[in-house]
Amino acid sequence: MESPRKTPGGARPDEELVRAFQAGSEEAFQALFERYGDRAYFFALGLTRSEPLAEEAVQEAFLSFLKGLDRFRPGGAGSFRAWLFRAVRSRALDALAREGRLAPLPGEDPPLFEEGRAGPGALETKEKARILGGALASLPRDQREAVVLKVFEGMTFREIGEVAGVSPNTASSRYRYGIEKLKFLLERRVRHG
Amino acid sequence: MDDREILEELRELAPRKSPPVLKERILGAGRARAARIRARRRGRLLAAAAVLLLLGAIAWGPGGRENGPEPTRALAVAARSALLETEARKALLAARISRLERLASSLPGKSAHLKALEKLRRELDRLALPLSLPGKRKAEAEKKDTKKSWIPNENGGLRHV
Repeated sequence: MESPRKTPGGARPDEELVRAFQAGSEEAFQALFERYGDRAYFFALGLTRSEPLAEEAVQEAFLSFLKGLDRFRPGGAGSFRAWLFRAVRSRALDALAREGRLAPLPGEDPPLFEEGRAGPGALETKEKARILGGALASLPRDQREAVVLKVFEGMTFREIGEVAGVSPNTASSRYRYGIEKLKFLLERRVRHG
Repeated sequence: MDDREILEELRELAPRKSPPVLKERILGAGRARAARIRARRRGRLLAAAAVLLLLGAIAWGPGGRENGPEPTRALAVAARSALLETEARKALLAARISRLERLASSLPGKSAHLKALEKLRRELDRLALPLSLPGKRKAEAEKKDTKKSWIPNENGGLRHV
């Protein structure tokens, strides 16, 4: 597996935490959630562009992990992270299909990035978050997903392919098209103010 | 603007965090799951202790070694009473098995004897775990043990006790 098994600072690897949780350690589950909860939410928010649906997708994915814990084999077919993101993606798409919409209505698109940072440069950061968040949100879902997993999760194309259920080449193409489109959107904005 | 600049700009931003209420819900579910796992493990430990108790009784109980380590002998004493009720039936079955083995090796109609032998062996295996006898079957076994029997009387006949 190409994904890093350890987080920086010598933290316990995911597989070890999963095993500890399977042995009844609630601290191990807490550590797993602290590690991936926010990241999974950001991923789900990027996919659904809806806060309630993103919450639901993350909650259902973690509950599915709890339910199938006995059958979960740490270090087996893939990493815990790839499994979790795949589960979140699947629940997010199910929720979107159930809601019968694939894009939010104008004005209800939730921000993807934190905007409320105070202090010097706060205004610039807020504006940047709004512009980049808007550009990222306007990408087609497949490309947006590939960009988020590559840029914010640091996944390899093979791992992105595992999560999205496509080949590494397809994952790479989606990422490349996504970045090209982001570049185009941002340059157009600079040109036209 | 090149790829590197875009990536740098994106990485400078802070992704949205999950709401606290979601965190509480998921962590609560995780705590409950961990508690159920621990309870199940405690149950297994108790079952393993019961098996050890039984093994101790078999190793150091009637017919076993007399001078075992003190804790093991204490276990044997505790478990011996549970074994006593089946000792007589076990001895009887062992004698029948021994007889059938002899018959099976020498007489025609071997397969019928072997089948009977296998049945008796299974019965003996079952009796080797008296603590697992279901309540109803155990009660029946006790009832059979207390049946009246005949013993020789002073006149050379049989007396009902």
